[in-house]
Amino acid sequence: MQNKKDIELKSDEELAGLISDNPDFYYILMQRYEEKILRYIRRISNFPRETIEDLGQEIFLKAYENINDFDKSLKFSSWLYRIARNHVISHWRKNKNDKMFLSYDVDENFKNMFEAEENVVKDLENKLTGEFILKVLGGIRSDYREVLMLRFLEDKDYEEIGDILKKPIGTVGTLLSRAKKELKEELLKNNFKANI
Amino acid sequence: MDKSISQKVLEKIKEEKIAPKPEWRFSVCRIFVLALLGFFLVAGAISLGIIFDLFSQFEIQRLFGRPKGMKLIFLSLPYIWIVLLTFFSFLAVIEFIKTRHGYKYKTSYIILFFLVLVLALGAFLHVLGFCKQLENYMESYIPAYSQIVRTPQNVWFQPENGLLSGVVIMDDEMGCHCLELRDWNREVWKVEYSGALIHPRIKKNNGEIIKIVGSKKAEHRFEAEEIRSWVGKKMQSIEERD
Repeated sequence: MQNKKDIELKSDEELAGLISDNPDFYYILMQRYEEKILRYIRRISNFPRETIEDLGQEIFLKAYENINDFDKSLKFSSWLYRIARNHVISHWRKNKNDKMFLSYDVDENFKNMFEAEENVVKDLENKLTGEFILKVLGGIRSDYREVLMLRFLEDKDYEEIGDILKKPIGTVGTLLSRAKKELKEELLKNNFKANI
Repeated sequence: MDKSISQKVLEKIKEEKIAPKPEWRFSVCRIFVLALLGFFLVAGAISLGIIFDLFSQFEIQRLFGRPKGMKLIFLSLPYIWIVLLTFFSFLAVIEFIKTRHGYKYKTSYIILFFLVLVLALGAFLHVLGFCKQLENYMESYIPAYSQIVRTPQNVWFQPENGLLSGVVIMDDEMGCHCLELRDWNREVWKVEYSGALIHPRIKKNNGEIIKIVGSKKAEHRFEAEEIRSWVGKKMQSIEERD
């Protein structure tokens, strides 16, 4: 057997090319992305835990079935996130009664996101609660919220965001800049004073 | 201990012997999208080529500056082809966006690119004479075509608006500087041309098809200001070549 270490050193894209022959390679890829994809689903949907897990399984299965359609000019993660996003949206469309309630667990990434607005936010540590994040992000347009999440919470660059949302890089830049402006306004509305 | 999602998915794949869809299925889908894109592009270009063709037959520039000229031009526009051109170009843009990397380009750039492409291809087909042949075919074999599209005959047969066309059946028999013309409805008109500008190619021979700009003086009487050959210069060169 090929050394386990050698296999684990392979890039996502290299592994994706081997999956057709052996599903065990896919297991390694799933392990790499399981946590990230479940967290991403939770962030964009906030469905109950069981639904998120079901969706996670469906997404990984869908990606496996369509692995031969993987575009090698993309990053595997962008392709997988795109499938995840589309799957969550289509699940939500089919089950419109399952309302998507926004709620957030506080983590370091939110701090990074808010601090990206350099002129806003001083005593952030004290105010950064789930309720506060909900209030601020809930006041932002959903496409802005989505692009902010991908940039700051999922740590994706412009090109990856473009590949996930299927938008040109220029449009991603414009969306992000408008999203940051709206985020700043929301922060100011919620009593964050300018840090000048 | 609970199994992880990865374990559950791998077990399902193995138990149910799920295999990835074969690559050829995706290739077929991609080829289908590209074929549709090509079809819409060519259909758009043909529509534009026919518009060019109709415009050159109308000699639309002759209508500018005439009383009600803009109205005449407006009424002469080949709307069905303009609608088809817009429709096919729109679909071509949509199909391009649906290609693998189509989303990477700004829609405004894609629209501009396809406008230039359709324009170039349409002009090429027009110069080749392909669109004229296609239009002639439709006129001959699709009876409703000339009712749907403003053909050159329709445009150049509006006596009330100063446009008349048809076949010369008799010229200047009594030295009256007038000719007799049979229009497309087989009605005979007496056309007086003493003060008219007559294109050098016009011989006023029996059977010659001409178009006239002027004014209607009475029932079946017309005063010509300008007499032109039925086939415009460009169209004549294409016909001679054919």
